[in-house]
Amino acid sequence: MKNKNLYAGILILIFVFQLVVPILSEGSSYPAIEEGAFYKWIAFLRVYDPSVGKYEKYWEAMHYLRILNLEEINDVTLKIRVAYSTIYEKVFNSKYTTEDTTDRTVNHRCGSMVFTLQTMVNKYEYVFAEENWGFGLRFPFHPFMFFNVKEHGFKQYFESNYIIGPVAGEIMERGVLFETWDIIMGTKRDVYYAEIYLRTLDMNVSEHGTSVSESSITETNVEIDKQLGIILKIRYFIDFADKMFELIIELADTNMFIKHKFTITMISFIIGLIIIWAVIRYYRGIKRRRLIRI
Amino acid sequence: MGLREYTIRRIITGTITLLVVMIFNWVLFRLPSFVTGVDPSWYYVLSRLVGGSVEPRRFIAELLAFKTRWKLPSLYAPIGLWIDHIVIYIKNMFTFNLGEDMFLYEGRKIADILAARIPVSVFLILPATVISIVIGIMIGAKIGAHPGSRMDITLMSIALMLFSIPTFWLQVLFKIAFTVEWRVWPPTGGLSSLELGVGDPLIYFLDAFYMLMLPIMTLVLAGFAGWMLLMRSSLMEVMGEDYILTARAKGLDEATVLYKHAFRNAILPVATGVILALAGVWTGAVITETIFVIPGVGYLLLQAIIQLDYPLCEATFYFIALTTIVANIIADISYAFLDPRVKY
Repeated sequence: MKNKNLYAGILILIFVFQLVVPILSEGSSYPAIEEGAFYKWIAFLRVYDPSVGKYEKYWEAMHYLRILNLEEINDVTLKIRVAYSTIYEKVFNSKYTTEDTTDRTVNHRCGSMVFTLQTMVNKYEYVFAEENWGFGLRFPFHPFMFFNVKEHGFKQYFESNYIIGPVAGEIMERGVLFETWDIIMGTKRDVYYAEIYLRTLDMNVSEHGTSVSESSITETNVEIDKQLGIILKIRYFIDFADKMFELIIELADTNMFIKHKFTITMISFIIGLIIIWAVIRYYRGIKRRRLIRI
Repeated sequence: MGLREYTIRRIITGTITLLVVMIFNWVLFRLPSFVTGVDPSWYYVLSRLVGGSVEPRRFIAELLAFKTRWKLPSLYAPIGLWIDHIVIYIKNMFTFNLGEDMFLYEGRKIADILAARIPVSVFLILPATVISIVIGIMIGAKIGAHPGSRMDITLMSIALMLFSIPTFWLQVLFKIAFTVEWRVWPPTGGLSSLELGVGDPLIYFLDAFYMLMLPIMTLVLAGFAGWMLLMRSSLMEVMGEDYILTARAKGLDEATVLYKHAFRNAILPVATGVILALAGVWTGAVITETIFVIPGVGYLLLQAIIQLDYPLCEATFYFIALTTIVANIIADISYAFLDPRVKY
């Protein structure tokens, strides 16, 4: 009898443990970093030509990242094998001088690479690879950048690291952060949306001094998925070399959430309304016919 | 359907129309920003900083202060923020919370700005509308009773000529003639002449009235012809009815037939127009107020459009739309009271 109670107690404990552990562990690791997960972003650069009064596209690129394998070394260290690449699918060469084309649009085809993620060090964000899209500027956000949105205090971390920061040597508020939603690939997603204004000169790494003016400001609009912590959209608006550059990056595909849910719901709702309207009309017609017969 | 049901239905359709107008109004003023890609916040802040250097720290601080104060989402903000923005806008409009102006009269309540301009527009347009309606109906009734007479042909020719002349052209001609050539009024326009000053309120009122006489005159000339033509055609139609023949057969004198039988029926279509015209009294006259520099609602609207001050544009358009919709509902319902034969 005693043994039976003991076994029952152990079984209940195991059951409760199984239920509680995922809840407790939720938020301790990056939700977007899962084995087999893939992400594809499309990016393009367009330049505003004031003489024509419209934008002209310079290139279109694709960023791809697949998490091939995850290995937990210990509680705080993850070995991640990923494949990632940046491929410039269309380059409108006529917009460039020869040396610009070769220097600025370079494909990065990386096979599988192993990264070590230490959750104690990279508590809130992890960058697999920085991207500069051919500019000699250091951009704050990249597609291959993951945020640990489930970690407690993420919002405060983001605000203190990105919203507040240096502008011409002075630490100041340089943006706003919102918690809102957006339609991404036809699905409603909760997002963190930030508008950040940076002095372009502060981002300069290797651009020629004269191409970045003292007063140039780069507008950054970034959307981060609130559940997964991936980059959904980035827009950089840069006043650079006396031209207006607009660099746009958008998530184009993933297997981490169902696509077109919102679109299908809306279409179903409209079809439903049409069916209800048709049924009401049909029954009203029958009623009228009956009245005529009387 | 009784009058009560009809009234409720008209109020519901009017509300839906107002909602559609509101959304259209909202889209209309944001469309240029979306087409050109120029964020209004950038435009306003850069305009404010003109003259000084665009120092990045100052620009960023000003831009953020502006965005936070007016809760303006960026053009590239997610749909969620834009939906929040439009919901707040619709709620504010329905509760007549027009908010504060962000550019032309920065920080001032739009309701106060409009309240200051409405009396000026009323002072200009009400006399002009009433005078043109009275003159138009009187002449229309007179000539409508005797179509084809010499007086009818003469007055019709004059009326058609005035009706065809663009109002702004007539106003510019009058302004040149009376302010530059004959100097009856000062060429500066506005509500006060330089000679009289603005000390005593009575003097100010008389001065304003004197200054408004010229625009009122032009509005009457441009407006009475329409009323006259409407009244004439309506009366001519009624004069051919059987009950007019019966009235004449009873031996009634021509004045009784005209004013007691024909006029009362002929005025019905005109009455609807009168209600709609009176609604327009509040909403100003953009061209007239601009030509004669009268600080009314119309002039305010033009200033707001030129300065891309879209909260002010939105509020003014909303006010005009609301007045028109309400006037339309009143006109429709009043028909039942004016003509007992009308059944809904």
